[in-house]
Amino acid sequence: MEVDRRLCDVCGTCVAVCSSDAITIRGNKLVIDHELCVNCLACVSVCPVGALGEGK
Amino acid sequence: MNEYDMVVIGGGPAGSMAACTAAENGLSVLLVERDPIIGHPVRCAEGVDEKGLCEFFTPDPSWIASEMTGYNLVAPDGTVVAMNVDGQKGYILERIIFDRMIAERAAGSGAMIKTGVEAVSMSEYRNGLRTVQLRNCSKEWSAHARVVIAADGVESRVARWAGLNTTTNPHDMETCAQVTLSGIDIDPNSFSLYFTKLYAPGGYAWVFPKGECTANVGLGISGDKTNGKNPCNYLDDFRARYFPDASVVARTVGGVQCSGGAEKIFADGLMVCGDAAHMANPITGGGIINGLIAGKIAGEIAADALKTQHGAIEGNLKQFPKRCNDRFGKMNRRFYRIKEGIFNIPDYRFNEIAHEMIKLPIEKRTPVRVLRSAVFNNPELLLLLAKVVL
Repeated sequence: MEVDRRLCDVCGTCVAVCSSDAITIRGNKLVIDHELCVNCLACVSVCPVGALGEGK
Repeated sequence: MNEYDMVVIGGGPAGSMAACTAAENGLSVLLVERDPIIGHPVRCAEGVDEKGLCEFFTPDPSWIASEMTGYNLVAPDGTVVAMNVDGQKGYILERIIFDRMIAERAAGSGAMIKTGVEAVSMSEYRNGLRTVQLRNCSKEWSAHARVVIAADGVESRVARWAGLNTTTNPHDMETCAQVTLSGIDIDPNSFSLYFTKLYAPGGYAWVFPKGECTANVGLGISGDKTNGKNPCNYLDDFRARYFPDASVVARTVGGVQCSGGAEKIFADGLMVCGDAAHMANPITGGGIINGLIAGKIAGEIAADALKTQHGAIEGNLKQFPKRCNDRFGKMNRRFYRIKEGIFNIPDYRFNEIAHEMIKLPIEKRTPVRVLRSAVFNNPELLLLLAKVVL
């Protein structure tokens, strides 16, 4: 899972759906922990701007 | 050192209200907000009803953008149905000023407010205290609290640190995009709701006027009904249809948990308030008033526990979900069950309902009447409603 920081608005919607706690916001930036991510794609489906994707 | 009766994480309406209530009752309170400005960025359509608002504040022109005396439902084919409001009023807020007003009130009552401070972790509850690790730029320090209020909004991470499950499944996450449009021709005192699968599958689109020619225009869609498009794409289509020539003066995106309520909203030394506890109305997505109610309840419970029964806070926190339930929790769970029914009504049925409604005099155009129309020829919805009533 990758985030396109040019599109990301840091709204937190993906954090709220991530059941493995793999996404955090640090210093107003989205950080994805690839160790924790199980590629369920929940975050991709709720991202309002389409900033998340597999190997984006 | 750095020890408080209450540490509040999140400076939205729920957090500030909890801080304000606790401070007014004599507790020492620290409120931390991650963003550098309270109330900014605004991730909200900013609508509230008069009754809910006036329980807490006297409406003030400095934070009210406009007064709503009517509303329209707009069918997929564009048919506009002006509805009977039955003397009820609503307001569109200026959240950036409204939120700061509440925070200032909390500060005025003695709470310490810190912006640009992020909570990064929280300890277990030990010896009547939780320790919250705070960060500002590269500086880290800890604060100790007898009770922590998790009011960190949609992300709801603080509750998860305490072992509560506050994740949302994508189906119950309304994923939203909104623009503030200017230079549009609208009735400044009526808001409009658009129900259509074309622009907002599993949700609706809204136009909330913020003055003569400005409005918050947005939509929310269910997180599992995106069909390869995100809400921004849907909003572009919606704007092209209804407001092709408008100027965009602000743009925002975000999510609202429409699950009807998180499973558990308290733990030892912790209460979860507002969006963090999924307290928004699952049909409308409105969460400001419920956040204020929960914040106030949390503040009162904390004050009561810490003031009158020194240290015996654990038992008192059990009242929190119960009191929230009585005020809005039970209703929200009912709304959740009818949400599915409403958002599953096909577009052609919405058109038929609208055509039936415009034939009625405006006094008879009530939400109950709309629902009755919707149930007609739709036994599935009737079944859902029966479950809610029984």
